[in-house]
Amino acid sequence: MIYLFDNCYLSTTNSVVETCKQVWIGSHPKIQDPMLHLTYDILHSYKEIDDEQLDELFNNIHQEYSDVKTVIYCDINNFMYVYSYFFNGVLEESAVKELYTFDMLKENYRIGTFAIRDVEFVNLPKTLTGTDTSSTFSSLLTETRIEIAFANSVRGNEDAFNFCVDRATKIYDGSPGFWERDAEQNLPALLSDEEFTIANLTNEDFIESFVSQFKVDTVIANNILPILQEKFGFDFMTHYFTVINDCADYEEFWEDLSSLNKEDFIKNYMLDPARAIKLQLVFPNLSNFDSINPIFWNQILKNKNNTLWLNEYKVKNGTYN
Amino acid sequence: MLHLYNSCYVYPDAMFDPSTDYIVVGQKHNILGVGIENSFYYNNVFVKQCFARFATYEDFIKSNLVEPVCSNKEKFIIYCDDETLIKFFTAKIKSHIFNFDESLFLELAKLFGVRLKIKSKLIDSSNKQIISNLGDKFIALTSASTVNKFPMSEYWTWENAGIEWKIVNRKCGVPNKHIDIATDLINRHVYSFFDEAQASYLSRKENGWATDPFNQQFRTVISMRDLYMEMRKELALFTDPLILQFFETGVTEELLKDPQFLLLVSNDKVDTWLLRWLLKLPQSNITQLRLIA
Repeated sequence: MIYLFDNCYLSTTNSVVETCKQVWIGSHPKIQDPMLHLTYDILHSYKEIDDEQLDELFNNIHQEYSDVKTVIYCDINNFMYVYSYFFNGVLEESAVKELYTFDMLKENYRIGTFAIRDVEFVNLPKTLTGTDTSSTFSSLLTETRIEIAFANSVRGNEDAFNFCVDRATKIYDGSPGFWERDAEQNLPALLSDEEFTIANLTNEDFIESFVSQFKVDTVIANNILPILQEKFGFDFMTHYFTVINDCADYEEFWEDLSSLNKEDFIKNYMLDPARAIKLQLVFPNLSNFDSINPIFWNQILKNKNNTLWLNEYKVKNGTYN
Repeated sequence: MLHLYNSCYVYPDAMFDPSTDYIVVGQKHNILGVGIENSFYYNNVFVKQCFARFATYEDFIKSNLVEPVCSNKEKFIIYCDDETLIKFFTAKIKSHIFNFDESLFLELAKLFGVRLKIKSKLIDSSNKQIISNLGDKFIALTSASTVNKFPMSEYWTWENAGIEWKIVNRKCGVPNKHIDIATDLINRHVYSFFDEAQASYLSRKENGWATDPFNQQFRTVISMRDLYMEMRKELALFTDPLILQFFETGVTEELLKDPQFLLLVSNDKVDTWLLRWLLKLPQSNITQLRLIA
């Protein structure tokens, strides 16, 4: 699933998200299935589409459904057409082709689509064969994909950096952490035998004090980690930063980090390539895959010292001109 | 909600959702889900048809559907009114305690009620109030309803009992399949992180340790242990030392008694509240109750 704008995404039919508005373009084996319209909330479907209709569609989604997740499902040819038409309005041709190689991988390997239903597994070709035309709609957008902004921010573009901070703060989901949704079943394990009594469990104050431990912090689960360490002798932070992230010197900055709010954490750690290269797992691999391509993100981090290759990711229009 | 056996659950009818196979028992048996296929609200799901409708709990128990429903390996839901749900809860407890003890039953009912109340505090859903009210009803119970145990044989119950019953019985040396079940649970837990593992592997294929030319799409997992060992380098599982211990030494008594194991196995199918409560009981008490598992 490739992020386009607002809440609108482009996708092949490798997996289909049910709970969103949908647009279907091209020929799909199941498009004639009468259950399709009963099953999905389909806004429009097109057998074929041209430049004018596509811009009209983008405008329609932008105006009517900017706050509603909307996914444009395409067959292979239409995927490449919509992809190139949209991004030709944003980036230079060579950048679109290279960006496609990352997005093609993400799409073919279904990274970021936590969808319930597989409809038809397809493989996008390695090379983009799209259109030379470009979308007027996308060329007028002032916001772009965070990866593109990040590519510009590592080259010192401050506007791009500020955009990244805002966007990442919105989409960062707080992982890694201790999830509230697991708390109901985890609670018994965190109580001692003496605490795990009917009297305590039916005492509103007692429950309130326990439930409050599960509050998910904006950055990381600071509340629950000392409890885990106390109960189980398990140091999550050391484990996380040494075993998982190979960053044994985390204590040096953790002191400051633990008191940061989410925005500062993102600004000073996740988007600082020098730190993010060590903590790369914090963001791209455990967060919002729908809105980000972790393969491209890691590529930027890996090549942060050689920014020449990022020249082509300069956005043609909008904020970064 | 209330887990019966295998993948069969009991839900209050106010939480009706037609996307899962279901039957309806009790007050709303003739109206719940009728004509739902044309509803705009349910456009985003494949609407399932009701398998059967029973006016009362007793009608359902007399039918020949009890065992098939409870044996379901795909998620299956029994929707019913609150009073019927309490009957299901009671029948389940009675099915597992050969020498039924009403005071223990009332404790377990309160425990289930508390669990529901806490769930209602933690979820952000329109079902909050429904779950909370149901919790109140369980907490307020003063006697067990007169329903009998489920009509399945003791052997069936023994075979299909949840892990909480098997682990507790293990405490008294009763042989059962708890090792297989615990192994399966841990493997499934590890496998549930497979999507993240795929993403991590793929994004590091070049010049990385995860180059995998023969299994590029990571669709097959030949060894759960090997998968785990690779994932361990990348994923933040706070239960990690326990899983590592499992893959190094298998399921041990030590592992089963570890409260951290509760964290590991906690999911819809394993009632960690009940397990914790039963584990607190003295061994002599468990022997006396003759738990079936």
